[in-house]
Amino acid sequence: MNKFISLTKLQLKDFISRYVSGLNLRGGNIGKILLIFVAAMLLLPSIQLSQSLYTPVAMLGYPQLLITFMYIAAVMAMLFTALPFIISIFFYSKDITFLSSLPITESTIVFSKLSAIYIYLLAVSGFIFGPALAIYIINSNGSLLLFILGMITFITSPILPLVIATIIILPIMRFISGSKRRNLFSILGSILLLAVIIGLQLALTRFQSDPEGIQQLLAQSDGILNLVGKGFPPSIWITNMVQGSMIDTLLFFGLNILLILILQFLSKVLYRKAMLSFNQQGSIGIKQGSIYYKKRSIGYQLIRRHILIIISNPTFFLNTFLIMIVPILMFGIMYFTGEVSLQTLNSPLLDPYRVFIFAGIISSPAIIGSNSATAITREGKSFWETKILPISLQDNIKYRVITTIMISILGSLILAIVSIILLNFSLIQVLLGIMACVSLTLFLSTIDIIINIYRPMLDWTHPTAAVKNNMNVMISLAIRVALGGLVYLIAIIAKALGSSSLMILFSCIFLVLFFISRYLVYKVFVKMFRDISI
Amino acid sequence: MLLIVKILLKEGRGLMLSLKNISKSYDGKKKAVNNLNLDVKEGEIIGFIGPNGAGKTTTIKMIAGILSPSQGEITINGVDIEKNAIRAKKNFTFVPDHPAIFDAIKGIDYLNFIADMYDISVEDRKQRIERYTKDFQIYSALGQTINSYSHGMKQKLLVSGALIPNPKLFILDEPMVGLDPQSAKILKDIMKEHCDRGGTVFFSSHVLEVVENLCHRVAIINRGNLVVCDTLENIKRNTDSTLEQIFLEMTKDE
Repeated sequence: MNKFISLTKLQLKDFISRYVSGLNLRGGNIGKILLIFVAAMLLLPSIQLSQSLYTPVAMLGYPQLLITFMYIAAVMAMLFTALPFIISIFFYSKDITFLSSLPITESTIVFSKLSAIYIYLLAVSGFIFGPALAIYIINSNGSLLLFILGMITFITSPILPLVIATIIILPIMRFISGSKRRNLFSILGSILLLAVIIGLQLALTRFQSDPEGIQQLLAQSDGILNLVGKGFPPSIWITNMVQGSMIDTLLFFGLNILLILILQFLSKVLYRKAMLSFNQQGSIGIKQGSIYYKKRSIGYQLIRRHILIIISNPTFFLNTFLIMIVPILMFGIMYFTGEVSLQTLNSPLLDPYRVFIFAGIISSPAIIGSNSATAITREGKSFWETKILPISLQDNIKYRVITTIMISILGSLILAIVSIILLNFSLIQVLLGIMACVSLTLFLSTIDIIINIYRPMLDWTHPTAAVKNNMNVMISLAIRVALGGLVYLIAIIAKALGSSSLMILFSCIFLVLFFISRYLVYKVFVKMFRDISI
Repeated sequence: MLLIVKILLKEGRGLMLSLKNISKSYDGKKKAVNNLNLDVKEGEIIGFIGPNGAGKTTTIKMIAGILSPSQGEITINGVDIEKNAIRAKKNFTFVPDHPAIFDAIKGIDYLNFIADMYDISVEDRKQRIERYTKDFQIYSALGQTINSYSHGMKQKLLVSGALIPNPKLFILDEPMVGLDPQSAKILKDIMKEHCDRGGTVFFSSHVLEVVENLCHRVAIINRGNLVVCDTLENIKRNTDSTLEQIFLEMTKDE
């Protein structure tokens, strides 16, 4: 037990210290304000959703349904968050060689590693389930007992999705042997995951915007609690647990304990076969390629290097290339669920906005992908390689930015072709859209590298920490929110100019911002880039 | 050895590496390297030794341009690395103590990458890649991705890559770590040969025997301060001590 506690402490300390250093609050108050801003941005919609859900269920006399719904939502979110995290922390982690040499049981390693994911999931639950519990307790004129029960419920909420996700992953990974198949599986799984998340979000939005539907559902004779419970009984147990039901408390904890026992049993069987086999270099078939001698330009080699860093790692690949398919996936899901149709999008009523729609669609790779914000981080400890080469610091930064621009423009091109085919945009709309997209891509790709220069974060243990659990991405999103606000404000003020003139105005603004950010990167922040220590 | 240095100085060979009043502090308080002064002439092999945490790697990283000194000036072949980094970097190559490189590419991709960075012609790179990788017995593995290499193979690849540009100054941090005895011997021979052709070698090591047998001069660093930099004969003068005994004496806790 002592070994487990020591190892868990180590894992947690490592995870928390890396996460805190990932948040990197060295900017003092600015960093803290940004962190609070980002947290608020994530928390506010959840509070709003819980509140808007509480009102109708309370009116119908079932306020506890808020707990049921939000627990289900939190479980789904935690489950889908846990899946890639578990893959990353178990199968791509660099500490596995060290851990496997320690005189400890397989289950100790598995559970101690899971403890770090538990903390992360608890934070996810805090953003979804936490506000619902708080709203329910406050509105119930909460007693101390209710508060304690609520806290227990909250603390235990990640266990179920965590164990389920692990049980799903371990056997699957057992059968996916070999590096290439592993990467392919991760990519395919993540695309599926992306589709499920978008689908869920769209369903949730539709559900939220349909109060009549909610009331109809609640008015059913069986009652929504049992209706939901048929599909997912723990949601009923946890709801009744908050209300003080001893039987449901026993059922909920009983299930959790049972799943943990199953996991302990599985961990012993699968650890060596799954986790270790993925970290044995010898188990991967070595492919022999040809030896060649070819001269290429420095720019070509550096851009190729940055692209290869991305595509050789599934986590990086998903966070750069595949994120571009989000708009296509969204459209596909909305199209097949009947949310939108081509007729709606081609409606004459949308004519004044069509140029904005086109520009928005093709600019989405630059908006969604924050590739420059992690361009230095992705290199990790091999960052020193380019630092000693006889190339200027400006070139070293420039080719990272160019790589981002190339990837974004590629995504924009694909989206432009698809949307032109489907949505019959006019030539002038296409030209104006492209102008805005190019200038916006140039600006965002350049400004994002400043974030990464300021927060390089080269020391990461698994790739998820480098690109997903990286505050840089959040900061870059904050820039986009601020820019969106500016664009909206200008659109309101200068509405009379008309859509075409507005697009030209926006393009000019983005270009000016690009030149300012370019100056900052290559004249000011280049000194900070020089001082990045490895 | 002393004779060689004297000959070099007589010949008027220029300074290949010069460190003037170099200090480095990571936290603004404690100095990892403190006011270090060191000159290395062309054609010399200098061994840089010191206990763990003495400041060896920090010094080498500053020379290689990976870290900026907090104070002082580093010139390579007369070029200030801070003021004219590209020109300075064209004069040297560097092999770090740990082969942390981007390893999803093939060995040959890595070597071509390095050759392109230093503008090496196809003929020269072919001849040098074949020579060094065959010497180190990794030629047949060049078509494989680096992540399939062992630690030692990666180290050999890095050394081969660093030799392709035929640098004037060859900087190595703990080069013998991970190398099998045969490869260590080959590396030592290459270092000697490089020096014979007029090249300069600056390397750190914990293997005092290698330093003793290979170097024209030895620099000992302790707690960020350069304790001594001289020929082995001068360091040993008037004593019967071995380099190990002298090293332990000079770096012992007071």
